[in-house]
Amino acid sequence: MLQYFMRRVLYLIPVLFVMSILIFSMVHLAPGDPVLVLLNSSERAAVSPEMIEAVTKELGLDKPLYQQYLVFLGGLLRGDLGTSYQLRKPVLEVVSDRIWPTIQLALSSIVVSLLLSIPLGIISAMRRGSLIDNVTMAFAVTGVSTPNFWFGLILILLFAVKLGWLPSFGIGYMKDGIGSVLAHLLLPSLTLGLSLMAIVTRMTRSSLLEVLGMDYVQTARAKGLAESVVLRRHALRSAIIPVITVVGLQFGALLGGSVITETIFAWPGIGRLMITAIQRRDFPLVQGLTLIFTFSFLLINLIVDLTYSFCDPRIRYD
Amino acid sequence: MGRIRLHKEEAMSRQKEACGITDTDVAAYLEEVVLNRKLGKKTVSLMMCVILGVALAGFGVMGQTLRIASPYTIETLDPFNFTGDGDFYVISQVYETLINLEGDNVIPRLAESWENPDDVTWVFHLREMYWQDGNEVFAEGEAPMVTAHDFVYTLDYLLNPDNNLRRTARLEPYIASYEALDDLTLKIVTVEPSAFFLNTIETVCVVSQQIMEALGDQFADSPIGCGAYEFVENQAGHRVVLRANEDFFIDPAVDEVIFSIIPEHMTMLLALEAGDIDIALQIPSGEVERVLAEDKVTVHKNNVGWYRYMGFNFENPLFEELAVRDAISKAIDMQTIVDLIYPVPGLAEVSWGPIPLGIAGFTEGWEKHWTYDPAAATAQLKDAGWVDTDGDGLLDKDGTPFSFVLQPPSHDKARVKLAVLISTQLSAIGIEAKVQEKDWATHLDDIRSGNVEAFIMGGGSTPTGLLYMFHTVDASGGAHNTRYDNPELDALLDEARRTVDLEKRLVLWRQAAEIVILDRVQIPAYYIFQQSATAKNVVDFFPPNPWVSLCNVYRNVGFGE
Repeated sequence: MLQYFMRRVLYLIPVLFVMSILIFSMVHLAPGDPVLVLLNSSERAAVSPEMIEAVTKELGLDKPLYQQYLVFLGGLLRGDLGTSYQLRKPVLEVVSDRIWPTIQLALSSIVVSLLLSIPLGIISAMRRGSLIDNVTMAFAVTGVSTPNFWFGLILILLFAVKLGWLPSFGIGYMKDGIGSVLAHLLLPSLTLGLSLMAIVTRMTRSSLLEVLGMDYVQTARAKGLAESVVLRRHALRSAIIPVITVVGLQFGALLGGSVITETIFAWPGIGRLMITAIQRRDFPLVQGLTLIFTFSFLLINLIVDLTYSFCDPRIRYD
Repeated sequence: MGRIRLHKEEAMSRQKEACGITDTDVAAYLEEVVLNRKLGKKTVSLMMCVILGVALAGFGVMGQTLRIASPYTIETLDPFNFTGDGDFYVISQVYETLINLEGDNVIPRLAESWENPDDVTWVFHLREMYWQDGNEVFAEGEAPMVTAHDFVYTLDYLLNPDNNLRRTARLEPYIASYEALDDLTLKIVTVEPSAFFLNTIETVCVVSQQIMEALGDQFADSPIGCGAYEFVENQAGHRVVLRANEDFFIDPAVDEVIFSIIPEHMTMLLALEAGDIDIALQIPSGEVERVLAEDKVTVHKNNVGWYRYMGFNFENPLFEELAVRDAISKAIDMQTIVDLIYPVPGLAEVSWGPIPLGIAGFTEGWEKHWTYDPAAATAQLKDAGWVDTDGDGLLDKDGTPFSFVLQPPSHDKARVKLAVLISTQLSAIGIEAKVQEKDWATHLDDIRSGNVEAFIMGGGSTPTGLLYMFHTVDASGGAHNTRYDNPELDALLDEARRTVDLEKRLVLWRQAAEIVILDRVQIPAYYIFQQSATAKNVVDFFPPNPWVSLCNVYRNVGFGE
């Protein structure tokens, strides 16, 4: 098992290397000049050709493309992802400043979603065909179809403006108390987790229904076990596997969805950073962030795979 | 618990005192609210003071905080390298510049007064100011005075090409020499007489050699200047916190200023309405009507209109002839278009020339240079050889249909609508303008490299606007480049930029604008007035943005009745 894990981790290196070449090419071949964007970022912009020339030189963009790639590669091998054009700081530093809010948001979205959706899915499965089941399924469809842009604004309107219970934007800090952190986290987590909630509810329900129809569950019931024990000890373990897969796959969507949620809630994470970096053609930052996103996606999938063998002892890796 | 309660009561009574409210007022207010359910101005302010007092007491904070929300990222607080407005909003509070500009007004900041002994010489008399203290460089009460020598050091640093600074190229062409005549007198000599010297020096922030050397690389992260507000912390991507500089020559109106970054305008407005911020710098134009009707916050209209226009690429053979460009302008009913894009009055005005309202040189009456006359347009195009010979609804000439791509930037829905509406109107006379949106970066690059046929653009809303839109050299690098080459216009603009006297320059400036109008280089569309909103109790917030510092001889933004 450990061997398997180590091998998987080592595979990450060539994958990331190939990704870096791909990203560099894509980003540099796309139209758009970072210098023009940088200097024209204001209605008051008065941009002279001298200014453009000076900044182009400063950023090393006057060098031929292959030379720029070698500089990038050299840096990469030393663990230096380059310096952001907009923020004038090393990419690693920029990312480490901004990654924690995104991790916080992603994790809490997953937690909030699972806390709500798994019980709902279970109840729906146990009471198939009932009112609760129908309502839950309707919610699931609505949840997936609701744009989280709109949903986020509605939550702010209701809970911050009309009721005044929660803050309308931004992140909370531990120095202001755990209450502040949680209060700021709730609405963005609900927004980001909405589609995940909907999907997981459905997934849990259908997976559990399938499992509940299996022979071994019937056996357990025939043995006289209480329904809750049947559920807990026998059914859930198997039923949860597809759900874990979905959560793992959805993690990518979560990272993408975080861009919108972070913009709506002015959440200082890397989702928002990524979109600004792309719009402004901040090549080092885009490259660095893409590599980091790739890495985290691969890591999550690794964790998901390992969790399988925990849930289902039959699954073993050599 | 007893201690906290006492603290609360004390705070409440202090707060009431500060607001000029007595206990009888409180009783009367309660009566009014309970009996009449009416909340007039006095009761609202009373309520706010009481709530504020309780809230502040609860947090144990006695001071006032001004919370400003900006849609722009705050990328750097380095005054030598910033490029965005969002950066300068903060920099302008922590650092002092010689002057700030608001329309035609020059606001004295570090420079108390100045004179021009001749056309190329500027002598600034500095006021007595001190570097911020109580930080890692200067202990409390030990900060030295800001001198002209500091400004000389600043210019030395900024103009040194080895330092690789982004803002060097902006100032460098203007400066011939500079020196400190004494501790409080600074002399700068420009290369040639310059109408725009003040615009250029406006963003040069004075720094101290001692501070720069002490902070080294940390200089950009922990700015120390001599402005009204001191830097406290920067929570990356989220907000910057500043506190009042008690030693500033004016008492800042608030104790703390927090700049939060809220990129989504709707969220910014909701945050203001929820009471989480005091100033929202840009609210969605679609909400202005509702906000004005509800009257819970104050709406401020920007004093400068941001100019939007349709530009031609002069290297495209379609647009070579003036008669053709003029015909296109005759086929476009700009008033109707602008009314459709901005139905709520006051948000935007039709523009008839390239100088926006609020910038010196704007002229009422340019409207007379434009007509809406589709019939005349068709006739003119016919004279130029454009007729629909094959009956397909499109004009053609020598087998080529009159078709081109009109490119707006995708991020601004209003400009996309502008393109679509222009396209619709042009199709009525047989011209096909295909609308193709591009994202901002691509759009800028396309215009600069000439990879466009016609485009929708905006900007130039500065006193130097005409230079960067029309001067063959100045426009060449940039994002307004129509590739219009008119030596007569260049000469006029060059003469204007060397004319220091405002009135004289404006005569030349207007002449230049008229050339551009009559030659149909651009088709002006509209000026949009950015709307910002503040809590009702915010005072003195003009101009409605923090580009001009919040606390100076001209204004002291804070809270009031």
